[in-house]
Amino acid sequence: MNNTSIKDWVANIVKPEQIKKYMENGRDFINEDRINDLLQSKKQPDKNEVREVIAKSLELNRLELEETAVLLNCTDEEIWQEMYEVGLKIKQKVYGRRIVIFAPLYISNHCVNSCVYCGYRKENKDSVRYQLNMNELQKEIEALVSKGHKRLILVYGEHPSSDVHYIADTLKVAYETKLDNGEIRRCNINAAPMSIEDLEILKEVGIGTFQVFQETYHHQTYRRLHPRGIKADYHWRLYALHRSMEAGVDDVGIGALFGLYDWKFEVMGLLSHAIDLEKHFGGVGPHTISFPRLEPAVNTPFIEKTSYKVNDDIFKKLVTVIRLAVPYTGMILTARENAAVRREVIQVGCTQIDAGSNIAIGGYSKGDPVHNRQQFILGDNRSLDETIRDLADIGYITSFCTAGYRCGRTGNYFMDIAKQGKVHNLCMPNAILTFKEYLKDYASAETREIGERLIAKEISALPNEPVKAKVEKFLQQIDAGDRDLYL
Amino acid sequence: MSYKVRNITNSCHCSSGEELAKICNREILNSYPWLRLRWVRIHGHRWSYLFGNSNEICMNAKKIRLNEDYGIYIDNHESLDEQELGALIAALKRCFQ
Repeated sequence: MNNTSIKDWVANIVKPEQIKKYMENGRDFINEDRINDLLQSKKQPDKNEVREVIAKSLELNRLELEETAVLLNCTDEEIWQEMYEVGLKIKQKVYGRRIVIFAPLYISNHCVNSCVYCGYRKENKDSVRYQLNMNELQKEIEALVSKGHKRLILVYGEHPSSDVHYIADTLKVAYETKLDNGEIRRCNINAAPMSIEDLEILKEVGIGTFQVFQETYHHQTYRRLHPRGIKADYHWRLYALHRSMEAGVDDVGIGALFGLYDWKFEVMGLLSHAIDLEKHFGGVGPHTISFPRLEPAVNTPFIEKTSYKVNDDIFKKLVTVIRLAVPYTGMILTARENAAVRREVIQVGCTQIDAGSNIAIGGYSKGDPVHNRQQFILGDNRSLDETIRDLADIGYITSFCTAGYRCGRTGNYFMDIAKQGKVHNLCMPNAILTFKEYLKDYASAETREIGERLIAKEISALPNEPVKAKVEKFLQQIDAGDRDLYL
Repeated sequence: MSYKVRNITNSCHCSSGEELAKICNREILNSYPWLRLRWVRIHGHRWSYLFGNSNEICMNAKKIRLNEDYGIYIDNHESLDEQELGALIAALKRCFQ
C-alpha cells in the first residue's frame, strides 16, 4: 500500500458526528478541574471517612469520584491492609474463587500512529513489521489450542492492512480452527477505535469484548504523547466504547497505561469513564478494566524519561482502589507484570489474567519470543500449566468459561446480576467444568493432581444442592468424553 | 392451538426484529404472567441480551433460536406442560420467520 492511499484511509476514519453526540455542551466527561479539586480537597482523610467508603464498596455499590478520591489519598498503611482484604472479599463475593485465563494473540504490528512510548510507533525502524496471513493465523491458533487455551484477546495495530474486514476474517479463522477436543470459544479484540458501522461488522462475526484503552485521560499529556496519526484525536478514542455499546457490542473493556501521567488522576479517569458509560447505556458500565504499567520496548527511550513510573507498592494500591470503586467489574492483570507481582496483586481482587503468553507476532507456533516483533517485554514467562498450578496452590480454580456471551448473559443482564452479587453462582460451576476439561486434556500430571483436589474441595463448597448435582453429572460426562458443558 | 398461543400469533403481524420481540414478550406475559423470559439478539457465537428477566439466575433455561438473528430463553419453562411449551415455541418461530 502506498503512502497516498494510507493517507486517504487515515483521513476518512474519524467520524466527528459519532463523537459529538455523546458530549455535553461540547465538553467530554473528563472534568480535569473537578478531578484535581477532589484529589486536593480529600487530602489526608481520617480513618472513619475511609472506612465509610470501604463499607459502601463492600456492599457492592459503585463509588462516586469524591469517595474514590478519599481512598486514593489514604496514607494510613493499616487502612490500606483493610482495603486489600476488602478488595479480595468483594471479588470472591461477586465472582467466587476463580480466575479467568486467556492468551493475547498479536496479529499485526503495522501502525499509522506515533505514540512516543510504544515500540510499534511508525517511526520506530528497529521494530520488525509483520502481519499474519490466514494460514499463519491458523497455526498460531492451533498452537494456543494445543496448550489448552479457550479464550483469546486478539491485538492489532491501526493500519489499513488490518482494517475491520481483516479483523473480521481473523475472528472467523479463530472460531473455525479446531484441534482434537480443543477450540477457541471466545475472542476479545484489542484494536483501534472504530465507527459504529465497523463495529456492527465485528458484532456479526461474534466478537467477545471490545477493548480500547485511553492510555492517559489527561488531555494535555495525551496530546503530547500522541502527536500524529489517528490516535492524536483524544475524543475519537474516548468515545470508542460508547460507539461499541451503541453498535450492540455490549461487553467493553476500558484501560489506562500507568506511567504516562499521575496514577491518582488516571484512576479517577477510569472511574469517570465507567460512570459515563453507565449514564448513557442504562446502567451498563465496562465489562472489564485493565491497568497495564508502562514497560520497556525496543528502541523506545520514553520510559527512562517519565517521572510518573508506578512502583510495585503504588501499583497494588491503585488496583485495590479500582476494585473498590467498581466492585462488579472484571479486572485484568496481565503478564507485563512479573510472577511475584501477579501473585501479590491477584489477591486484591483481580478476575482475569493471561498465561503462557507470547506477544511476538507468530511467536506461539515458533515457540520463540522474537523481541523485535514485540510491543514491549513481558514480565511473566511462566507456561499456562505452571500458572494454573500456581493458582491452584493458592486456592484458585482456573476458569476458561465462555458461557456468558453464548447464553445472553451480556450487557444489562450481566450487570444486573453482577451488581446483586449473583454471578458467582454461575462462575464457580462453570469454572469447575472448564477446569476439569483442561485437567483431562492438557494438564501435566502434577497440575492434574493438585487440580483434582481443588475441584473436589470446590464442589463440596457449592451452596446449592441442585447445582452441585448438575455439576457432578457434567463432570462424569466430561470424564466420559463430552466437552463444552456449562450452566 | 390454545387460545393463548393463538393470541400471540395474531399479534405479531407487520412487525419484525426487536419490535416483534417486544410485542411477543407482552403477549406471552399477558397469557403466562409467571414466565421468566430473556430475549437475545444472535451474532454468531454471541447471544446478546436485549431485555427481559435480569433479576434471577437460571441454571436450566430453555434456549430457543427463533431465526438467524433472534432467540429467547425461558428460564422457568418447567412451569408449562410439554404440549403448551411446544405450541408456544412453534408459534414464536412462526412469528419470527
